[in-house]
Amino acid sequence: MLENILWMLILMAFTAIVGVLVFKDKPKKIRFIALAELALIIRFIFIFVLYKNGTEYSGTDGLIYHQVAKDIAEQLKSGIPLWNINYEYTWYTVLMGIQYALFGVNRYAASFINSFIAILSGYYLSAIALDLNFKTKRSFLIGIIYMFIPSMFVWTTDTRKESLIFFFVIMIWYMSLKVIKDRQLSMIKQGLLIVSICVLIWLSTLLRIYLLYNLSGALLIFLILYYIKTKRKLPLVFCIVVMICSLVINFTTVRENMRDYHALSLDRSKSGDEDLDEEFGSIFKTIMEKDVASAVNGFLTKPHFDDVPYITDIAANTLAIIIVKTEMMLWYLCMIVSVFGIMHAFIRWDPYLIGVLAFIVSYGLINALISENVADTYYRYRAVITAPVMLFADYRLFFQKIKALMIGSSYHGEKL
Amino acid sequence: MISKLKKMWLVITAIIFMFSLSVFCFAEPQRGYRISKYEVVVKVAKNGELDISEEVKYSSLGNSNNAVILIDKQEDEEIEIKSVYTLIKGELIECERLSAGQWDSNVFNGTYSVLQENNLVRLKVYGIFKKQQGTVIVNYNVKNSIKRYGDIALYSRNHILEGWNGYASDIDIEIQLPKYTDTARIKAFLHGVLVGQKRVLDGRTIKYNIPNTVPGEYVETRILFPENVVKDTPITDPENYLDTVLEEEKEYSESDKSNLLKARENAAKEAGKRAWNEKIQQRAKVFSTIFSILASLSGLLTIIRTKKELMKGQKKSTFELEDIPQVTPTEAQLLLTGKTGARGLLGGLFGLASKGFIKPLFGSEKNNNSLRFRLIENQNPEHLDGPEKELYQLVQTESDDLGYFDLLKYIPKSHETAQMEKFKENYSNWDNNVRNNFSEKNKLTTSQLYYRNLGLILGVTLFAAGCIISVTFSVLSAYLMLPVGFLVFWYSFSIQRKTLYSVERIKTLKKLKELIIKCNKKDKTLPVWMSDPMLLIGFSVAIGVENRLHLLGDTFEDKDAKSIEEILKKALILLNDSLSAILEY
Repeated sequence: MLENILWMLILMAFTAIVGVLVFKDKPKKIRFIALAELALIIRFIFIFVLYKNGTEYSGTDGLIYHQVAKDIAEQLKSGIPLWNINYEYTWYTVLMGIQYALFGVNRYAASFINSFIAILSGYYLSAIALDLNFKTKRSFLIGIIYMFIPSMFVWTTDTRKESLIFFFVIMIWYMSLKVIKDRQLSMIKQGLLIVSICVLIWLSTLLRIYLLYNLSGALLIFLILYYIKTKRKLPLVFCIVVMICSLVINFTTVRENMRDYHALSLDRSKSGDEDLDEEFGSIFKTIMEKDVASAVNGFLTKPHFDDVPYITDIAANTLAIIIVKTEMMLWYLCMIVSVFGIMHAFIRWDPYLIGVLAFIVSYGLINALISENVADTYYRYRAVITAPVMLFADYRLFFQKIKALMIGSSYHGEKL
Repeated sequence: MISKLKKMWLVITAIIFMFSLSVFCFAEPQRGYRISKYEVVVKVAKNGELDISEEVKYSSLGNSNNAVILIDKQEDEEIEIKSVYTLIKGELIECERLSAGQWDSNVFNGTYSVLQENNLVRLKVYGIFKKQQGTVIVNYNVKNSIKRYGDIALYSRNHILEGWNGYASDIDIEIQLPKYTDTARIKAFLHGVLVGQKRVLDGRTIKYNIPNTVPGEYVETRILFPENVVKDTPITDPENYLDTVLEEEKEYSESDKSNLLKARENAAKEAGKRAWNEKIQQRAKVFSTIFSILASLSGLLTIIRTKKELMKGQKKSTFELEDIPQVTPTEAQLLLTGKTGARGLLGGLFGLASKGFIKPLFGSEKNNNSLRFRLIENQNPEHLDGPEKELYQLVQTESDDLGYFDLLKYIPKSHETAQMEKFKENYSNWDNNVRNNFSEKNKLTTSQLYYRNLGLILGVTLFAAGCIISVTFSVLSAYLMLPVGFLVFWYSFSIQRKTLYSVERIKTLKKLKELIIKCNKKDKTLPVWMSDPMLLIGFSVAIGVENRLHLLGDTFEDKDAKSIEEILKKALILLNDSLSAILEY
């Protein structure tokens, strides 16, 4: 217990330090950081509830990864170098394994780290919003909402890879904006950031194989549009680097890992009754058999209100059912509001937001097609796009623009 | 107050809208738990403990790799899970229990965990359930379950919990007493369902058979038997209890069981609703498909109608190459691209130069190009139009004591925050002025305005409908409304570039561009005004052909033209960079 308390205190201190560093010049940052600490503490409490009975409230992936990580820790301790480690399922288990090798096997500590990473994601989401010149209040609100979304507590506290995926996605977009927007960056810093983005794309591919195409495709759209708009050379260079890096990843990492990848949870264990080839075939069969429109509906809107009481982990738990239903209602509202945010992004012809939108659409489509048609699976896979969608969730700017255009007869198109 | 009310109404409407969507759009034929067979054997021990074995066959679990079984736990009861089996590849596998902080075993070879909650025990079994079907066998002990009174002993247990919300079929429950007794002294009761059988088979075994249950129903079995059958059980209360129980049962039996009727009614309604929903969903799909296609067509028709309206009543005037100086280079850039930007600004300065208000000075030294403008004295800017006047004033303000305005020095660098702000303000004011001036010259008629507004509203509506209907009703054709909505919106949004005034000028400007690109020094077909070097540079910059100056007849010397091209290129890069830095985000 003492070890756990130490972990929690250290991570809380890091949360405060990172918060102050990221938002050093911003007003009201103390309140924002305090709320982030609260979100972290709630996550810590949730972890103890989650593991109280050795049970899994949120599915079983976390448990599998924990077991693989223990094996990796053993391999590392026995002197096998990191690059020769034998691991299953996902690269996330290697990260956990390293932690276990260094600090001892402790699933609580791995979950604490995940919680901390989730808070960092919230920070950098707000930082993106600030860099997009959203008002400070709105930017912080986006981060706070993200950190307090009830389902996020579940996805980001267990020893699952979700927390890391969300963080990588947000960081890639944050750093891309930084490279393009921050004119005071030296060439070395720009280069380092671009290389870091490529590394993160590679790591994301190791976590979820198709993220390579979502991320690099959307980044290319952003950079090409940005180049067309401003004729700056930097986005062109950035674009070429991303393209080369994506090709390399495609012909190395993706090809190598394709056979081991099976998004449909037909069988997630070695003891399954289908071998991988059969499963691989069954994935494609499932994709081909899917009704695209229904699949998109499922991905974006499940669990529907009527499904919620039947989610196994919260069945007969009235409070949890109410929370999930409320969250779903707010998600629907967020999506409706975002429609106008999307239109506003197009009116402004904002390359960055259009790139983010391309990521949301492509990720949504792929997941709609490959995810198992089960409410809680869609629910979890959709969580990746929650943060990017929140960047669009404002109808006011769009309507203000239209109102101004309709009331005044003058043409006020783009400014650049 | 009014605005608050409006907001409130908006929120309420949105909530109602979303809930109404969920009613008819989100229904599915089958969901949640479905138990296809449920067999329970309860052995009552003399000490009042229960040894229960439950075999649960699921037809739908809601998940592929775990199943949750809810076990009733009443006050004072202690439940101990003895063993859990699951069927993997046709073999019964004994599951291993996962305890707190211990996650050692291979989970999917069969494990389980136990969560003690207030009035139930949540047993979670991990395994591989193909197509969400599975069989789980649970053996567990319940302590302090049998209540022993002065005259009777009472067995009371919920086998299907009221809040479970699932469907169960073929439920068989067998309760075995520890020893034989007079059959007449055993009384069995069944609560929670309207249809079900109970039989006292012999002096020891009681059997229940319930064909099915629906959400809202539950299965509670209650058995009275002589207290001496469980003589090792601690006495709960020495008082006689038979009459109390019989009274309770009489009450239950005579009750209207409205909750159960309601549950059945709800289940029937649910089934009916599902069927109705499916029907409605099918109809909604057909309706949405037709609606989407018609709406998309109406969007396209609106564009055609607007286009007609734009051309209506306007005499086709001729705007030829010679007439180009009627527009300023800035306006030319706005006409061609819809924006002013670096080219508009630089072109505008050369426009002023062509009118004799300023004179450009190209400085070309090694690695040190400069572009300065000198103010020409005694010029009256009164006859200049708004944007030109503003640009002239800007040059005046920013020029030094000798009347020189150095453009490349004026453009702020990214670290010069204060200058950037000032530059942004100056640029924005000038940009608005240019656009207002253009709008004045290119005024829309009332009916054109009507069609523009209609297009804007229709475009937004179609786009939003495309997003919402396609997802809500799972209709592919509704996605058509997205591009159409966007097209209608964009067309209306940029309508001023589609008026006859704009179209003619854009066409001529493009012709000019083509002419410059294709021309050579011997070409004598160039318009006369192009002999004015300032106007020529201004328009070349505005239409993006400033790198062709060296080909334009005798206006420039080759050497001069090349160096001017270089300077213009540098100025445009700097201006572009600076403007994108201050205006993009």
